[in-house]
Amino acid sequence: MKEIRAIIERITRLNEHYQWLHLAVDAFHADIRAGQSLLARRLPERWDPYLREQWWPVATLNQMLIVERSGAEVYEPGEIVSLMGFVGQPFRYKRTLRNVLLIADNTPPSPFIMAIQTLLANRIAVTLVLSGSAANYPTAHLPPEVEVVVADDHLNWSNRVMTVGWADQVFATVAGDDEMGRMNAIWRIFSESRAEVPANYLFGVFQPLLPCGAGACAGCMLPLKQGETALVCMEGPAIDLSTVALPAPY
Amino acid sequence: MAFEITRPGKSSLIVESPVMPMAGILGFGDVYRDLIQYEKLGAFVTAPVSYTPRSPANGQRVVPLDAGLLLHTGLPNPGISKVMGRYRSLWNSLPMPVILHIVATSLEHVRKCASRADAENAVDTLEIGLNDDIEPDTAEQMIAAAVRNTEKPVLARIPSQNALELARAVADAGAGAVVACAPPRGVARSPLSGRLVDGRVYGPTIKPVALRLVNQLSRAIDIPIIGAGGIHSQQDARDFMDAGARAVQVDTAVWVQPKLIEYIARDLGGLVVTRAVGALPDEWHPGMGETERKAHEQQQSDADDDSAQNTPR
Repeated sequence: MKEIRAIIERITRLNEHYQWLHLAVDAFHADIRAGQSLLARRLPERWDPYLREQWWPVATLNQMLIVERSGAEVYEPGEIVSLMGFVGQPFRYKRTLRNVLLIADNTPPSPFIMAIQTLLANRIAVTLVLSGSAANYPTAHLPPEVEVVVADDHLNWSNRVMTVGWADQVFATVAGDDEMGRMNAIWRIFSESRAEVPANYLFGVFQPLLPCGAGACAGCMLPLKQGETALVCMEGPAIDLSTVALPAPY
Repeated sequence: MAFEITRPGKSSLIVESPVMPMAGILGFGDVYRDLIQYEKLGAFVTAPVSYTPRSPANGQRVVPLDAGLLLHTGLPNPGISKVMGRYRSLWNSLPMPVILHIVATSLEHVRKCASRADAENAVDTLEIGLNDDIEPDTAEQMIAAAVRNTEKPVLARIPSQNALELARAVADAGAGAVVACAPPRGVARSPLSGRLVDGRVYGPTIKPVALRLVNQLSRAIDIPIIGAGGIHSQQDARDFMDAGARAVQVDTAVWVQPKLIEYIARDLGGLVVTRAVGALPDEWHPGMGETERKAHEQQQSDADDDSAQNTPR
């Protein structure tokens, strides 16, 4: 992990809800991969807000890193931010991957945007399911090859059984109000739709608040089966849900 | 420069800098090695360790506050035996003394942990973390049990409530120093779940409380005090030293601004130097960025070329 200062070179507004910040960074940080994120802190140094924010990259271009932020936040070109990273590991795909299903349940699909580019470049079919408030996410900027499906608040969408059936690998991210409970709901959908949910098939992309992002604070520790644990900031954000000790249904 | 931060005796803890992280801030090992020069720190305090394994807390664990955070982890750890197995060689390789933070769950567990740690060369000192609602009698028994079962110095980290009585009790029991104080407990509503979360409160607003406590204790007990709580600048750390602390522990400021602990260590360790005219930011803030490093290398290269050209043949 390294800490650097980055300059906001350009701001692109996607719509009234989201904007992209183009950050000039060093070669190390420009090498970020899909699944990894950065912990950002705006300068000048103040202690309010206190925690660093998790910023998800959506693309890299030369020495430029593009991140997605809420449109409600105010940034200025030329502004300097402190970045710490990388947080987490890149997404790991199956060698035989042909079809991937991405699910965003009541949270923006920001962790997936960078992965979509990589997957399409490798001729892998991508379906993006937007459920609940995620349906408000603008999709006009996504490549036309991506199949976007809007689901209701209970993760129902047309042809769900078929979609679940053909997916070789699934990545799901959920709102943080009850992350484990929502992950459990997704686990139930897949375990009811398939004879079995194999290992390395259904991944939860966890986004807990990260006080340190370096594996020190244990604030993001997940309980796994057989008494083991995993740190989302070190081993995540994508954790195989077949290994997670999920709580009772919510 | 050497600082003796425990009471003098056969086994006392002497450090090069009176600055160290609070328990848990740097985890169990070297996760911050790329961001912080550990050599600048006086000691490494481990994440809390208990005799038996502990699981992470359920539900929301982090609540952002206006200037700070509330954290409730449940002190997850695999138990002292597994911790020693995993981190012994790492701790042996660290360039400073290692202080093992033991969660005081019960008298028997404290005794067993102290006995276990006593046999470990990788551990230099023990820090016993006392519960918030502990009675002075129990605290005295816990520290006495630890002291009886180890030759190593024993620090007692006390909560802010009832601190004066607790400090006297642990001093009588043979503690080498008092760490004052543990982050206070609080309750805050999670903006994500809307539920109330109970946990420890961190942030700059804790400092005045801890500072007052250190000042009170320094006049009441005759063993060294290690000040802790809300240190977020060099001046904060100096305030604790002025209030009577022999050393300081820096907490969550490290997570937000990792280099800060190094700056404080330089400051309190007598390593403050004047910034050279024209010094690049990298020299002053090591590891800040590739851009600065490359510029510095280019400058060095240019200087070498110039000197080569100026050398008489």
